[in-house]
Amino acid sequence: MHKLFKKNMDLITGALLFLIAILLFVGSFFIQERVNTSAIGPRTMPQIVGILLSMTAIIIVVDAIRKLQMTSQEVHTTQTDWRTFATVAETIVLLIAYVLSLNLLGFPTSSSLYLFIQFVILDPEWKKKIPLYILIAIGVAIIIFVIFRQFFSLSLPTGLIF
Amino acid sequence: MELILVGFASILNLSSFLLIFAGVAIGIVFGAIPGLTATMALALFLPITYNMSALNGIVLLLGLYIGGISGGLISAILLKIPGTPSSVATTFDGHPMAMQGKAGRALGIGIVYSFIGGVISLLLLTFIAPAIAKVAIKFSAYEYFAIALFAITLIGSVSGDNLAKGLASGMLGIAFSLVGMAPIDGYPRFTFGRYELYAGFDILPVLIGLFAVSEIFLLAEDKFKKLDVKPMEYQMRGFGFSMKEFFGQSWNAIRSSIIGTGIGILPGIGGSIANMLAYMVAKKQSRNPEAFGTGIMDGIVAPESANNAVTGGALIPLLTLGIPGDATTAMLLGALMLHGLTPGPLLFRNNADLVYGIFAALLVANIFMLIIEYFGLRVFVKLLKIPKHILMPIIIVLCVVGAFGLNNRLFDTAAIIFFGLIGYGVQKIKLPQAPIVLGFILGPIIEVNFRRAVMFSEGKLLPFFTKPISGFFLLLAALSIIVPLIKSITQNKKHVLKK
Repeated sequence: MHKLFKKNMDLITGALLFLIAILLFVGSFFIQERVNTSAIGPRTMPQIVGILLSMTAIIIVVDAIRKLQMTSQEVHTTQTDWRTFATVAETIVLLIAYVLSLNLLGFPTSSSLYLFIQFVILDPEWKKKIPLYILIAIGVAIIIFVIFRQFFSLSLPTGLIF
Repeated sequence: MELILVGFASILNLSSFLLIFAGVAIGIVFGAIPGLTATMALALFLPITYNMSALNGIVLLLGLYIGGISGGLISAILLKIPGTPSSVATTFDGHPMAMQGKAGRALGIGIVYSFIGGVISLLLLTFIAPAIAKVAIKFSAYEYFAIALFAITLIGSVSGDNLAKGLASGMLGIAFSLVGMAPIDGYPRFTFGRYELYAGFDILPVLIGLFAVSEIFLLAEDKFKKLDVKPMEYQMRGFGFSMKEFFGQSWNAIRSSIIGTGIGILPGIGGSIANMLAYMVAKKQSRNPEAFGTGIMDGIVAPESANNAVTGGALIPLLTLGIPGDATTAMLLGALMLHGLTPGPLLFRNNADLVYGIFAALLVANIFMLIIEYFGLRVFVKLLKIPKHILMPIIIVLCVVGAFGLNNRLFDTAAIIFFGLIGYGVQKIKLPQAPIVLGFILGPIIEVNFRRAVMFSEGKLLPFFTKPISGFFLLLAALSIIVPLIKSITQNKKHVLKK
């Protein structure tokens, strides 16, 4: 089963879309509406979109299966190695942490930390450039903070610490 | 004519000119650096416009738009990497010409014909848009429903390699637009009890997430790939072509500009297709098509005038109907609405000074583009060397600032991460991104007009088909699905027969 999926990405795409379509359709019944409403109400659009999405999902899956039958040779897939996956995963975690920390640490601190860690994550040769990255991270965060506060009167969070 | 003068009067001041200048210069940078796009530039700079007057905000964004579309030619010619999707075809002849030691000539041609394409489309915009607005003012809910539906089917059928995937993306976009209070009766939908979701997702976090934040994940994938960016050497002497050559290209430039404007008017297609199509048409109509790809002038004139011509075209449906032609004009729509302006035929009547101010600003932006890109070339080429792993995180911080500034709440900042992951995810499962944005914008237009129309006709659906304009667009909508479907079926048959 795993190999089959790897062979054709479209199977996953179709299955995912179908799942979203079902969630949309089922979810629409939880939308409140008037009892004596006409045929068309707040539930109509989600239901139509759910049905159409499920149809496109089925077409994508059928297409994918047909392609699998037609081509016996290996369908081209991109090999994702673990290091790449780790870099993406680290970036995702870092971004979430960045947003969550904004209110606590404040924009300048959070952003400096985010920038520095992100540089490190993205550059395989980061060890040689630590001082430079620290300088850029702090500098950029402070410049952005000051510019937006002074010139565009945007009140970015200052945090609970400073 | 009088209105055009009023338009010029409204932007003839230092601050407007400075904003256009800055917009164009920054736009060119975003266009030139591969991976950064005009859409991203607009998304990042929209927050700065919150406190500006509507016109000042819009002219800054227009500058970014014009510069961003044109800047792609620099890297297309010097790096053979299109700076934006709009300059893919520019690499075909631009880079070979540069390889022959004539990089300066290639850049000169690209810059001048970007300008010409922009100006021709602007002329078309100035004359076509008010005429359409006059017709559109009579449109009712039926017509808006039909046009929006046509727009979404067209987007689905032209973007990406696969009709079902394009339409699925559009549907996903509509699905995201359903979050929040339903139109007309205001019942909450898919809010999961969170009050922040009652107003739905704002367009800005959606765009920032899909088009800017998603890029950092793609960049993370390239960590261990060695990408050397070494722009070629070039020498600028004038624009690099003679008057005789200039006049020889007149028809090519005009034809390509008309193609670009036409593609721009059609929703959801945009610069990337205009650029390719104009190149292919120029090649087909040429007396020596085999010379294309070897580094000839025709092969740069066609794609570069076409992609900049898209700008004027895309503004036509945006300003007259409130329907954006591509993701970048979707940003402009967001900007107009932030300033309390609803694009549509009424804009031409109630805010004529603004509309004609936009036209005037476009002309100024095109002129600045010509000047800045020519004289600032050295700087732009230097900027190509900034490592992406330093640039992108800084852009992310600016994204966070922009999202936060929208409503001064962290919820929108979380939303850009969410849509960033969605944008990354759909690219991983090979769905086109642009239909999601258009679906997100067109979904509410489709729904609210559908329900209004049905209320008006007391539940009957027949008037959608019997009203001429609405019926016409519904027919077009059906055709835009059926035609590619038949094509793919016949192609499949051929494929099977070959086997």
